[in-house]
Amino acid sequence: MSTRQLAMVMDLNKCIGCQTCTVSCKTQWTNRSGREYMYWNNVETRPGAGYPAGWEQAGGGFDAAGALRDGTVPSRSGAYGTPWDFNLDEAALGKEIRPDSEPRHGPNWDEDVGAGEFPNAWHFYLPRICNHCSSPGCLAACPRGAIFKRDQDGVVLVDQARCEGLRYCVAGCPYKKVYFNPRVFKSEKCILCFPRVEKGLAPACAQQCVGRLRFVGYLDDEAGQVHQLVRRWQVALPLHAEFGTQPNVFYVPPLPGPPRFDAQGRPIAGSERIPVSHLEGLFGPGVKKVLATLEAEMKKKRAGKPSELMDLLIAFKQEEMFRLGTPSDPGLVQLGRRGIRSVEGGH
Amino acid sequence: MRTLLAAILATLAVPAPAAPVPSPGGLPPLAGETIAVRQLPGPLAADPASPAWDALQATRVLVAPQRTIRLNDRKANAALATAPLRELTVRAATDGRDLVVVVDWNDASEDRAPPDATDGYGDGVALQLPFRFGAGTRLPYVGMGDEQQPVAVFLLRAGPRGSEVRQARGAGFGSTVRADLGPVQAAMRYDPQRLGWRAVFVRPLVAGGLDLRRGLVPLALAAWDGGRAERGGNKALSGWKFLRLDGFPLDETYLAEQAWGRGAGLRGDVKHGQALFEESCTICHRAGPQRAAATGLAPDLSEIGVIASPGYLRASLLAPSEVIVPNPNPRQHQDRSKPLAVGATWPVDDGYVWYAVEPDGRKTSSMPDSSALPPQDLADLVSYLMTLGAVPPAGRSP
Repeated sequence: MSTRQLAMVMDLNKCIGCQTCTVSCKTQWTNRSGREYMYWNNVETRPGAGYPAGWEQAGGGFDAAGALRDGTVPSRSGAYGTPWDFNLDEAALGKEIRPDSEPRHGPNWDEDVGAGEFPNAWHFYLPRICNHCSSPGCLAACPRGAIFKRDQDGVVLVDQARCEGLRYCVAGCPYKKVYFNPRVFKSEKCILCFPRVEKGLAPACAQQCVGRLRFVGYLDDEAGQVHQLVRRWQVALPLHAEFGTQPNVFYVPPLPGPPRFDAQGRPIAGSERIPVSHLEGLFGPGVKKVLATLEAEMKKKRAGKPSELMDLLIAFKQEEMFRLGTPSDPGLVQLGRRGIRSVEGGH
Repeated sequence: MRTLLAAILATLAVPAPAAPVPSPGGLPPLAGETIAVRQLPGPLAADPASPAWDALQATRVLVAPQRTIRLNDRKANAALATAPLRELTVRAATDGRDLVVVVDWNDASEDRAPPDATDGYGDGVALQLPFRFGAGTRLPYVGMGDEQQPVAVFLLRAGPRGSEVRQARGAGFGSTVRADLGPVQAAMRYDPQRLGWRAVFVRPLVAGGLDLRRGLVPLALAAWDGGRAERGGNKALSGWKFLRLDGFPLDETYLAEQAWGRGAGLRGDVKHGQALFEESCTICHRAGPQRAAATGLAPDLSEIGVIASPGYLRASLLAPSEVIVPNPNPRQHQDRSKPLAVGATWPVDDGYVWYAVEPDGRKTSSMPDSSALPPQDLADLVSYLMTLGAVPPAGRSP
């Protein structure tokens, strides 16, 4: 639908669930004016209900025949969870610390849940932003044609002048990444930090990522890491591709982890800590092939042999993770003083 | 305000009746389709609490749940599955400068979009008027007009604090653009005793590209029940009705055009019409219990008898490309018939696009031309279509 597509790859093996991305997004875009409850970027813990709760069952996207599926509009007091605050001023004077409203759900509500019993418990983190889909469910659902995909980068945006706050987009997005702002009565969503991208800066969530797990680049930039990981190595998979919206955020699935332990505390050879079936439920039937590729490349590295894929995923220099220009002029993002000096001083 | 009401009441010889009075014979060919617009001394104020409105002649207007196009909200669609026909009671008057339209309807709950909720919707009501009307000019498509015949829309919506009025110009589903159509006053008030709303709109007869100084002015209405998650296209709407303005010239030609097939004018065999419909139309159209066609392939005709006139149906059959129904968002249907190349996007399924756009910009309807249909068959088919929606068909699903 667009000439070019800016995409993101998130390597889940590197995510530590620190929420720095969430905070960078929130302080940049959603800490005011009716957006307080919104998390354009959230990191949820798997397994769990996610954010908003039960989004995977909330409908939207397309059915197998290609028809838009009905969906629901989550409630702020229910599936999103009303934001609460603590009485820190009173607590400082010795009062018991308590929330100002009963917490029922919120971003990363499932942090402490996980699955399995010690010593075989497991969990992993799943950061989520708008997928800037090639066939967006929100765009298809909007009866007013208020949602569009930018031709130059495929970023999906809500035309605030056309939006009348009807919320069919919220129902139509199977990832529930369009939010209704009750204060301004319009729908709002992740904009992939396009004002930053236009100035050659990576989206805030990616730039601030402590674990360096977010690659940003155009899918047609064959030299770029995004293209390399998605198309060439095919180790990055879309989330719930079966929703039919052709998402453009791709995930390197987490390795199933160390083997499980038997009752005597001995590792069970060939067992999976994170069930591969759970990963397949998120990333589809391609998971096993990806895991096999990752294992093979890791094995090379362990044997002291070079692995181009492992070097890509390690991402020695963060600026190389972001290519926001054209294939001939990749426009590597300049990060901080070192980056600027390397441009100006050439060293 | 008090003196204005006193002045209005002083002009009224009869006491305010408690219940709406059904319109009498009125204009015979359009009996039941006209709303009497009485002369009142001005100025007129949009005050829902004024008792003056009760004395005006009331007309009951049926509004049908909008099923022509399907929207994608699970909750709204569940409510739609059992949505009954509703009734609005409409009154109107003019002081020669302004027009007042008063709309009453029953609603068991006063729904206002709560200030911080993401899934709350307010009750609302809207008036729709064509920019152009009169002899030789066909009526706009009743669902927000069409490209050739745009409409003016006046919308009143219950917000968290009071009501909000909006004016817009429409040229098809989802096309409305907010527009300045001149000064408008409007207010709505919920009566917890009567369990219903009263909305009052006051605007000049001449303003914002609309000139209503004629004996017969088309008007359509819509209402939204926020409790049923109704907003936008999920609403209940009427067909075109006619304001009969006292003291303005009545064009007999226009009256005759609009009266085609109404009342005793249409003598068709409904049963034969149904047989014809089931023989060919149900391949693309859904209507009531006839649900063989895929959703969205063509307009759902379940309520067509409430929202369309016989003349409109005749025109759609004889020259479908002259009365193109605006297409809802065509991206709701992906064409999955071909394998998808890497990096490609699912294309739009052309089967769900209701018309082709010619190089010169003209649109050709996907509906076959039925101009070869014998006149009696045409009358039978239109007669059958006019029964759709009047009584909720049994066994309907959204």
